[in-house]
Amino acid sequence: MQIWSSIQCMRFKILLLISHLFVFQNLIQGQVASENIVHDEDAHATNAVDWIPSLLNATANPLNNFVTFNGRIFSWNLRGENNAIRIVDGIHWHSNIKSWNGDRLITGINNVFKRDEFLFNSVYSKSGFWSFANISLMSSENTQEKKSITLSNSFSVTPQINNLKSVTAIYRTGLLSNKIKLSAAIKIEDAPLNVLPNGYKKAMHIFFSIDKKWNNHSSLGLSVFWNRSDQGRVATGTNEVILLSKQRSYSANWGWYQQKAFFPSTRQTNTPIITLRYQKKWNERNMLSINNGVVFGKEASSNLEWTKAADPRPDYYKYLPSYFIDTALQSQLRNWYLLHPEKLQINFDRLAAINKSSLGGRSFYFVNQENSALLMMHGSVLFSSQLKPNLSFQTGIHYAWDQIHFYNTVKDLLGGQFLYNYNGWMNDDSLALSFQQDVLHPDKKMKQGEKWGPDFLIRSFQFRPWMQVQRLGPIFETSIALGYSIDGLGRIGFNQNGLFENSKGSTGFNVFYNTDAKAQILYKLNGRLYFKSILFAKWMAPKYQSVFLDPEINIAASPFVAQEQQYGADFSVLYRAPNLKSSISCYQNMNFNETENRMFYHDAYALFVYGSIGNMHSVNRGIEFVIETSILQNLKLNYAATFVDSYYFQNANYQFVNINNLQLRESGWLQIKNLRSSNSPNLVNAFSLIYQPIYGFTIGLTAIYANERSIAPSLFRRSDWVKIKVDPISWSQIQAIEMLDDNKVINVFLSKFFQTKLINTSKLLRWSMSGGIRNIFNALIPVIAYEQTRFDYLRFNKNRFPPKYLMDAGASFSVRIQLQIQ
Amino acid sequence: MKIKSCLFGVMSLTFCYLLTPACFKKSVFAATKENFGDSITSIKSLRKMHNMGMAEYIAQPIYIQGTVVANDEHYNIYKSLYVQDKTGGIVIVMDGQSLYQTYPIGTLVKIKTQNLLLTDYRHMVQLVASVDSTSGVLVTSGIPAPMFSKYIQIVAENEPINPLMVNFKNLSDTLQGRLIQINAVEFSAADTGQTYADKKNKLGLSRSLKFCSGGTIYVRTSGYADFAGAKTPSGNGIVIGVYSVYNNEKQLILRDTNDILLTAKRCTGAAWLQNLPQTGPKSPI
Repeated sequence: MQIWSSIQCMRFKILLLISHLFVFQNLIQGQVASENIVHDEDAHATNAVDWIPSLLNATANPLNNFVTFNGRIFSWNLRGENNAIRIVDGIHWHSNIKSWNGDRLITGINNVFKRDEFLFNSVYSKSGFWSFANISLMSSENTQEKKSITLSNSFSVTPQINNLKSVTAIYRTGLLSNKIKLSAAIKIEDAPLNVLPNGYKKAMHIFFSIDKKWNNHSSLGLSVFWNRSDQGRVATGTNEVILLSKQRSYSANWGWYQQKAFFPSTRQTNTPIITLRYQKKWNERNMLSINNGVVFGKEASSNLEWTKAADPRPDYYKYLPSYFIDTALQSQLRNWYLLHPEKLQINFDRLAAINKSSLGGRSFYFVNQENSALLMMHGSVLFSSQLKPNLSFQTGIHYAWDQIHFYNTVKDLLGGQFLYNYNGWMNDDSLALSFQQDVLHPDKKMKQGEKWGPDFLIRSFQFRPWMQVQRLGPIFETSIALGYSIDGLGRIGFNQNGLFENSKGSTGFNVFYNTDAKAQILYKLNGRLYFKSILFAKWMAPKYQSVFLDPEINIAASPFVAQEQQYGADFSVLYRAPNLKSSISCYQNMNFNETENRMFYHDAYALFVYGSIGNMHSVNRGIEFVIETSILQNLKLNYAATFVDSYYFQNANYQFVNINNLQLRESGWLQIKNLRSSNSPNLVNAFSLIYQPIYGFTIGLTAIYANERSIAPSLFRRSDWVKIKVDPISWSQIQAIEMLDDNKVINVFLSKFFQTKLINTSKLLRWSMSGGIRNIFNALIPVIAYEQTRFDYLRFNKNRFPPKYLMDAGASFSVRIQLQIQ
Repeated sequence: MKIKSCLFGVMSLTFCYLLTPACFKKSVFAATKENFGDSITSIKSLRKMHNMGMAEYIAQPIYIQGTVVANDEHYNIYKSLYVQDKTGGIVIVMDGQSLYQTYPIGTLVKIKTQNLLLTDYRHMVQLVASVDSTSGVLVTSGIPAPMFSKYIQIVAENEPINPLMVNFKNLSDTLQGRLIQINAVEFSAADTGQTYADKKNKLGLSRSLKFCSGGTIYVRTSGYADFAGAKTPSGNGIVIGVYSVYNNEKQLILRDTNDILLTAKRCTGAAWLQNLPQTGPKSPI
């Protein structure tokens, strides 16, 4: 085994050497970049390969590149907007249902797309969408005039932690005689089992498109994307358990079962997406486009669950040394863990033995699978007209109909024979607060593979007409836009649980009417200096989690459900010279009526509560500075800095209700005025150097330094109720938001591009190769850091439920080789 | 040159693909078993090491072996096991829940007592993992759940248990933690037809159990016990339970209501007063 491992290591080193010698470039902007970084911890653990740059990925804005491709490690968000929006074929795949986001499904094969437009800090968009952060407008249409085959192979390794390889093949026909173009692509990703900590990943993405043109004015296109994936999931951990395990990527999610590593926490996707595109251009001035898309299929995630049994999580706070008062016992336990690291992983054999020996084979421990059956139809109609040479007008409608059916299935009974169809909330003493999940079929024994638990469906719709006018003048450019939307959200319950009679049946739609308006003026002082000002106002529908507090078992809404509002202004100065581009922007966004809801165990009441926060008002303001310049002819420097000041400017309301009967247990004020409202670093400095000694060969280095970054706080503990129960010093410690250490990350890459011809043919072979090292100095950086919602409401000990972290895996090496035959 | 480039590319692709499981050290944790000694000390000898009101740290590698006679299956016992051998019984305080799933009644266990402490709670002797008196009160902690396997080894399962039949006169501290059977007893008139404990408010209660031959023992039930809301029977007969003390009060801890076999005619005011022969149902064990 050791010999095999050594051989593999040697292979890796040799390949690294080769990649250093022959790594090439297909990068236009010189930024280490990727569109494929999904914004969750699972993706962070598996997608290290995709930070390698490509032509498609880099954008025109260095700040956006820094943030999107290098800054996620610090939760670096621009203007309080966490998620970039991708519009593919004129359709956005975001839903109000559980904030579902289909971007990662659409862009499973990211290199089949071409980017139409990229918007950053701009209100004018030909799609009608707009955002202060960034919007990528992408198209799946085959635009190549010649037939081509592209083969791409990439892999990334984070030693002893992560290992992902992927192979992509793309075939494009070019324009056929009947004015039809075809494209087909497949991408396979594989991370083998037992690569820790996320377990494994297997994915296959299939793409097909057909485009037909006629009269050079009209076109019709059909695209199909199909994602099938199965992967393990990582987990966050407290500082204590990370130190105990001596693993920066420690995950309590997995364990040993029948002498093999077993990963009950997984995620599966099987979602075909079909889009139909129609475009008609009457002339150069008038254009109509209609885009429609449908998503169906299933997403699922699984987890170990238990009922009426001891908590199996090895990082449960009662199992860690800090839980014990006696220092000798703490030390004894700490040594025990150091001697027996297997105790920090789940012993599934023990769980299975308990299940097997129980009366009738009742499973107390089992793997549950949460399923989401999707049916979503999104579309847009856009009409664009150039009324005068300097005056353009656009109008359109975005519409969406979403339906997600949520239900559970028993994935693995772990040696048991059945599972009672009970809800299994456990309190801190492992006493079950169980109730029937289906009172019409009580005490039902569920077998492996059967549906159990909550069974409900959420529907939402949006109908949003909009219009905008843009006037281009020699000195001023102005644009103004208005939008109006009708949003609806409804629930249908398919079973009646033992707590809430109304859990079965339909609620009808909760309907919300919203508007938004924006205006922009650009003043051109001269050919190089511009001044830009933006104003906007948005009234938005309440978020899903406010309309339905806990749709799994009831139809109650948050008491603070209200239309959210956002007002903002931005002022920028832009400088454009042949060898220097620079901009500085000052902005302020005011947010009103934000809400938050959580279900958690409240130690003072010894029961689970729904915690709701309402009337959260915050302000995001800051300054952004970007400069792009060439120091030498072949050495380019990009520098960006952001300063953010985000805080709540008023205290907020909160309340706790008992989950069993929705009776109020506590309400009052949260003392959050002047507390930070964002966990993005206050000050970030980033620069990149791109050196191109010869054509097609590039070396790049990016460094980011983040200051004043906080962990994501849980606001519930900052209540008047707590304030009056503790002394002033303890209160100030509880109220203050914990700051993380200042951190820096350095990434480097090499890339090379060249092309050759096949002998005796006219076929071109385009080679592009790239390699890079992310976090080259192996800096220990928390990618995710947050306060647990659970708090010690009995003794107000801040350290009883300490913050949790997901640490960056450390230095990771990536190599990609791509061959295009044209 | 072109051919070389092509060849290089193809080789690189192939090599790249072959490389993939490179350089990983699989984290295999070999589960090691604790070394449990062969020599066994009797529970009686262990108990003798304890002085009431004190805490004795066990520095020597002392092993005891006994059978689990009561656990937390019905929530009447919390975070502890009652283990007995032929010489005596003892409470093992454990910081874990659902202990019954790992240590069901009848499990023969060997316990390594080294580094544990002998203490008593209201004169009930127990084995704990730590004591803390910084708050002015002696606070004990049970064996941490991750360390169960360090201190407790399962030797055998489904060991037969025979409760020790005793009468009131024999009830003494040497019986602490042992499964006992008492005959010809009945709940006092005031405690007949009452719930074993206050289930609604989760409060534990003691119900007096009278010996027909004279004497009282209290049936102590937790408010969390799943039978806390059950009614005490009015008959006379046999009761089985773990003998316990609360200061000077003699107590019996029920494992579940199957331990109560009070179906015969009450002796109060009849047999007891008239000093007639006592009869009752036979023990099921």
